[in-house]
Amino acid sequence: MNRKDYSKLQSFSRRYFLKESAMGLGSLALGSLLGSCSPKSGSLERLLDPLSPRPPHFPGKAKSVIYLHMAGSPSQLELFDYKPELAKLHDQDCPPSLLEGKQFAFIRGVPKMLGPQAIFKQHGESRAWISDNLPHFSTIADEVSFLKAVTTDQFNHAPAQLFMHTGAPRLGRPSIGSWVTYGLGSENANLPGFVVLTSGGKTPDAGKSVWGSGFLPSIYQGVQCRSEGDPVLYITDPVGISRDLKKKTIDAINEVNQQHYEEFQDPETLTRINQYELAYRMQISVPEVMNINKEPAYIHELYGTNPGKTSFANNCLLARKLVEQGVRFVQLFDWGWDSHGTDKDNALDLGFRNKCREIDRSMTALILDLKQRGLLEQTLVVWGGEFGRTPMQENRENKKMPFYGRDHHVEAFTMWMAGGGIKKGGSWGETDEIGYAAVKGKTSVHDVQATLLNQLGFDHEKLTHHFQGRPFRLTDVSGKVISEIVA
Amino acid sequence: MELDITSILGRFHPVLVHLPIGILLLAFLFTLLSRTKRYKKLKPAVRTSLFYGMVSAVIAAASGYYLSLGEDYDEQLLMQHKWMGFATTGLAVVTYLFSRKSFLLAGNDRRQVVTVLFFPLVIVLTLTGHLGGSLTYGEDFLFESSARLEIPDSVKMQSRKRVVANVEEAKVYDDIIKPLLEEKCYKCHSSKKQKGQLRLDATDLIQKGGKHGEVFVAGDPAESELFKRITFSIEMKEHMPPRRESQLTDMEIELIRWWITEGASFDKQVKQLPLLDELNEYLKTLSSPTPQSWVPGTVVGPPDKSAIEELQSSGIALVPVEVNSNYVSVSFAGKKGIDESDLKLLKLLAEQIIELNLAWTSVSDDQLAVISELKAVRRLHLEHTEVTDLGVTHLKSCENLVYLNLVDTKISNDALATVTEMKSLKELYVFNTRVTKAGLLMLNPQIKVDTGRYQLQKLVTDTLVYRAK
Repeated sequence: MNRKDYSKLQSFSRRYFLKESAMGLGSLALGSLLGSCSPKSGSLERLLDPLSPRPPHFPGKAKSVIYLHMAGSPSQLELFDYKPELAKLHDQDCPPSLLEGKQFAFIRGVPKMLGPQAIFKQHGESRAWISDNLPHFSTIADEVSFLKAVTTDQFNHAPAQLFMHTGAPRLGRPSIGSWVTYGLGSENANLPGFVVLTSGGKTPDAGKSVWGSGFLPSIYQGVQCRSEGDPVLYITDPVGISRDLKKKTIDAINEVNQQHYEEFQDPETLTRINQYELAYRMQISVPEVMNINKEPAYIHELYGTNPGKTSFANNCLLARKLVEQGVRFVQLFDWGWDSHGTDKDNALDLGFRNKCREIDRSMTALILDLKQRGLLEQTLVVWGGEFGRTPMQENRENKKMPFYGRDHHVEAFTMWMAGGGIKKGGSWGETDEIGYAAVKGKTSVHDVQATLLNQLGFDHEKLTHHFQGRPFRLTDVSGKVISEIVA
Repeated sequence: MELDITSILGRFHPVLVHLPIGILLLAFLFTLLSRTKRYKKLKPAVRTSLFYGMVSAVIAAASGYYLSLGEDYDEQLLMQHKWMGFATTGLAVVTYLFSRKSFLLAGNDRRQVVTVLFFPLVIVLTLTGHLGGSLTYGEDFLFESSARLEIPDSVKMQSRKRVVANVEEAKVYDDIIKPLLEEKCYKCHSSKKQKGQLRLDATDLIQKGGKHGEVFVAGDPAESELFKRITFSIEMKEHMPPRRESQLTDMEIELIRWWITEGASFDKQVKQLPLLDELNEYLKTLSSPTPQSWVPGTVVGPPDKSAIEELQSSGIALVPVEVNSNYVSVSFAGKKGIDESDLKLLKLLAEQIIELNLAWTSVSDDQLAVISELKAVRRLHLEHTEVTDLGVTHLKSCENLVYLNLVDTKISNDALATVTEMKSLKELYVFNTRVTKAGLLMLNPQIKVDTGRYQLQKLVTDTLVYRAK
């Protein structure tokens, strides 16, 4: 039997068939699996230089975003959404029409209505209603636009936070800051494009996924910086290691990683190389920008900062400093806003007021400081929680709470935006007379995200990333730019 | 709208047509193949496949007929498609009959006839299919597809944002109504297609109307066919634009109502007609499109590629201000020093740079002399630099400058003498400089100045901690 006949016969053997089909089909399957994770050819260039600045879809008004998230969700009814009718209904039973078919996180049975626990006044030329909980912020009412009828569909903290920051209530999607740095890159090569600052205390319930990069390369995830100790963990060189030696070490590691990438073509290896290089550059630039001690006294007084501590005020000042240096997206998380009324710290007339005092001066200062530096019009400032609070008093386990508090509420809450091409002294959306549901200008979380991207120059429907066989975007399949608050 | 069985069958036409096309072509293939020695055994398959092809052709033709009763198609095209369809069905029936044993002719002759008959059948079938495709996707679908389907992003952007420069002066029809019709109606009622024999792309054609007569009664929207159609409930067949097309927004409908009520004029200006506040607000939003006005409307040549690459490689952020724009924004963020070589490269991009950020750099007064050659710059950031009054004098020639940030620099009132001569300047920031209130008095009043140093009052509540009693 010659060789030709042998190979011909081979195609009839059962063993050969099984072997070939296992390999053939297996590699086909593997190919499609890998294909779903690896970038499309066009985006490889992006991965080689993932943070290089890129043009937006159209000239954006904002270059940076400072997003102030009040984790736990502050009550709109004690801050911005003034409801005198609700005061008249105080302590009366909630009518069944507001309860039937609704789901609440803690309210059971028939709760009592709870009147506004604050004194409201109109402020500025825009006649915006702001409560006495925010005396400083009231003075800049004409700088901001309110969204008074934002709605969400998640009534628990973690999914609602994920929804607000990644466009989906489940894990795995990139956060807004990741999308923005993916789209625009970083203006300053020595600083991360996306920085996260938390006020200490609790981290958000949804964990670090709210600033994660999801399916985008991990170079786009938020870099958490601290205002106490090393601004970034392990950023200082260990004792006895000089900067030159550090450079040599990183070069050697990157060389090995480069070989690894050439062999396996895994985009995450490129991310790793970029992160080493960025970390090296950051060793000089980050401690410098994160140091607020050199700021003059009147700036500290303006913000109410307390150098060396972890605080929202310090973070506001840091946010300004970072934006000044070309950081694209600064995400602040404050905590302790979950005013259920179960104890004094989350009572609307005690702990809540203390929280308001902590943010009032510094967020006002942030806007004024950006303004006097000529940066407000190119920096979009966004403020909000992950949902709202009920007009009813919370009655968890159907018992009266020891303090005044409200449950989680999805049907209406207030957010505000300022700068970055947002209308000055604007307001959009109205709730019914007790602040339960949106009646006019109802907006969704995706609308807010679409507006945010619009201000940066993105068509939110076109900022996509191909993953698992289809393009994904921040706003999923909905979202409409809220043009009513765009200047 | 009531749904009877025939109209449902009609809706299935686009699905059913594929059966006769596929089966008859297969029968044709079998016929040809069965003439060869190798595929002789396919001979019996010809008649069977032909039978099912014929049956499916009859069903497809019937469903097509019912569909043609219900929906509004281009009539001429529809006629052609309809008769071609019937011809296909007829030919299929005849061909099938000849393929049956003992039909008119004997054995081999019969087979020859079937083969010969197949050729006209396939030709007619193909033509019918093509006409059907033209009906569904539009006549230009096949050959002009690439041009029509891939509209460049920049064009889409422009068409979506209708820009009215000045609402008062704008022509009601040309600037407001026409672009609206163009976006929402021209697809079916213009030179491309004339559904219901109606064209809306020229004033005389609009006045002429369609097959149901005139489309509007000037001054009376309620009696105007066009207005009735756009305000019918979307479930109705008569509703326009058709359910699957992009719909008019409420404000757009109000605009058309207003236009017809006020006499459906083709030459009046907005200011000549009474206008409700709500519409006025809406029209104003048309006049302020989202893209920022600081990007010049004029076109500029592409920037020097090698200069861009060289600047980028030295860590300078340099990007087009938007996708497909030749105008660029340059930022030295993160760079401390500015090299002479960088400046030389910037000069090569003098026409294209409209934004320049030199904040927090070591830029010197002398270097600003070079910067002043960048005539196109609209926005200039010089905050936190060593720039002095002398440096600012160089900027006199930057005639397009709209935004100038001098926060935290060494300038004094003397610099304002230069600044006030900048014709286009609108925003000036001088916080943390030696500029005084007195100095600002001499400034051109069209320039908005921010001197900063904002303070917040000290309040009792700043330190008050609320505790439980």
